[in-house]
Amino acid sequence: MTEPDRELIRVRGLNSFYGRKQVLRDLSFSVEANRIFVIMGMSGCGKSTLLKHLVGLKPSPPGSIYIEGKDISGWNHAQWNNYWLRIGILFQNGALFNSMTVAQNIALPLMVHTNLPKEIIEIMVEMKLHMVGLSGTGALMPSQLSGGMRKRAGLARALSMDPEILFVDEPSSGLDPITAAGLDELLLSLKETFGMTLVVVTHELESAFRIGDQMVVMDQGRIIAYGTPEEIRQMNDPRVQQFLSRRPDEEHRDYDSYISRLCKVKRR
Amino acid sequence: MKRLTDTFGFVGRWILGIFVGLGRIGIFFLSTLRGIAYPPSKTGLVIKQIYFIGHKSMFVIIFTGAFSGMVLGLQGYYALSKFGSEGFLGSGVILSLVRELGPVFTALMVVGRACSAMCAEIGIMRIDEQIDALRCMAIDPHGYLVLPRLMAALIAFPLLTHVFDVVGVWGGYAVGVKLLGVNPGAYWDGVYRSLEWQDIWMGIVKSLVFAVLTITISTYKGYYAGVDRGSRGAEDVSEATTSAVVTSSVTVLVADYIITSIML
Amino acid sequence: MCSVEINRAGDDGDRLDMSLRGKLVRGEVKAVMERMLREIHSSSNLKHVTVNISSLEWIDTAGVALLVLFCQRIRAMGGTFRLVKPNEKVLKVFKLAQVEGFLSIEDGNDRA
Repeated sequence: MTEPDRELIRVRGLNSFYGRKQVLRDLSFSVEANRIFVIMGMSGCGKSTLLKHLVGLKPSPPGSIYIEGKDISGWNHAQWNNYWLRIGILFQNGALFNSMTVAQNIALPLMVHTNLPKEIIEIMVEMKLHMVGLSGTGALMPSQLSGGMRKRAGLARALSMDPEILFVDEPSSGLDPITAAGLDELLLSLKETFGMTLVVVTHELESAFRIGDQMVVMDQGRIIAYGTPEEIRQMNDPRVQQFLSRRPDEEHRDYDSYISRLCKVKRR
Repeated sequence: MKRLTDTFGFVGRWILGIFVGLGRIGIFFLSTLRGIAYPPSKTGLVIKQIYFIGHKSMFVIIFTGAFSGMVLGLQGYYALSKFGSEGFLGSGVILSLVRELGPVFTALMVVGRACSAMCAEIGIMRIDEQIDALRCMAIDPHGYLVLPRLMAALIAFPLLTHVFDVVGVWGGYAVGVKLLGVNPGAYWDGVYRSLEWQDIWMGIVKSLVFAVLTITISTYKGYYAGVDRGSRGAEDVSEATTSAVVTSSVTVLVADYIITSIML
Repeated sequence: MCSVEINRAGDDGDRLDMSLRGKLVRGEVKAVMERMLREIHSSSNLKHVTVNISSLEWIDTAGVALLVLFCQRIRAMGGTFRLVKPNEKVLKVFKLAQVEGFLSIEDGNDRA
């Protein structure tokens, strides 16, 4: 349990590169404890890269990310392990270990890091599966699950250690609307019940506005809007409005270069 | 002139690339050893891998062992009969097996059967973010994925090599004695007389070195599948697996020459 | 820390009242479980077990799993199990895990 309103994660001027290509430009925002922080934006705008920085899978430049006031760029192995034990992550496609059953996947962190007896772990696994709506699938292999089920099993695994901070990459992509709504409900009650802090990457507008306490909207590696859902709704920025009203991108399609590319197709 | 600098540049980059690769694989190996100190406990994982490397390779080892011994019996007989010294067949067969063919063929067979599968499995875990997931569960992927395989190989390789040797000697016996009529007493006498502890020791050293080399190379290739290109596709895994098998096999042969030249 | 207090009552020791204090979390569960199971295995004619958790400040899912296991063991022995007076925060955890029905949770008197 963490006390609310405390600043948990602070990002200041984060830049990120893949080779020479810059994917994140000067990002700054704060995530408060016991809040759901939503990162929104179009596909390929750098949301998942940002998440990788926040969980330490991609190294961050000094002075750009602070967790509880400490700069993560200088952390050693023990400090990272300590942080990883406090967080849970749902990866975009679940990232279940395909050589283990669903139940073994969820039990793995508990088996490795705790001294809990086997019976207790089995009950906990069943509980987490029930929370994500997958009761009775524990004995199945990940390959026997559908995409949406794999994702939910991944969420159950992310929850297995009762994390303080939960990072979720696209929770509802690939899910039907009813299951997706159920998942939103679960994320809200996790915040409510455990005082969890959640960082949710999504491009589902409806879900974002339903669960989010704070949000950023990203476009081409930049933050174009940052605030509460109400503040974001009232912003006049044309790009934000375009995103919110789901208008397709007309002006960005370069007609001339398209035609010239068509003409370059070699004759046989 | 430009052509010349281009050539030099190409050679330079190639050599640098080799050194970078060697450095990375060295660091990979050391990180794996460091995994001994971290959870989880490796016992169960090691037993599973011994089963995978050892038990599941048994059939192919027995099969190749038998045929290698039979070919040695055949070739040895025809070579030795030219000088009328068929009696030395036993020594020829056992020395070739224990010192060279046993360790090398066993390693090559395990590379083809188990190392390729290992590389593909770890490669799939890489492109599916499972390795990232392990790390974010505070489970060291080197310690969890690579170390148990390495420890299992250190146990399984010498055992498989000895199975190969024993089956091979009987294969040589079957052809040399039963088929071509060499005196059985002379055959076994040659086997007992010529085999020394030093030969067995050489076989064991070779199999241990091959175990470390092949497992490190193939898990390394899988672990970094597609990482350099920043891509996460099925072709990255297939490329990594091909490269793992080719590199491991070549390395086994090169290392075999080096060890032989040192130990002889 | 989580501490366990145990009272035996009833005519022939067929009632067991336990109360849990503090925080029943992952690190505590093993020790508390051993203590609780030792208690129920040491008596042959146990019929009614009541676990008072009014002083339990916090519980995580490992703690819930322990209570579920305990309840299941006692019912398998033919006894009854009651869990009384969880505080608001703890009750929410039971609700999220959807075990409040199974654990026969009673509010006690203070919130009636």
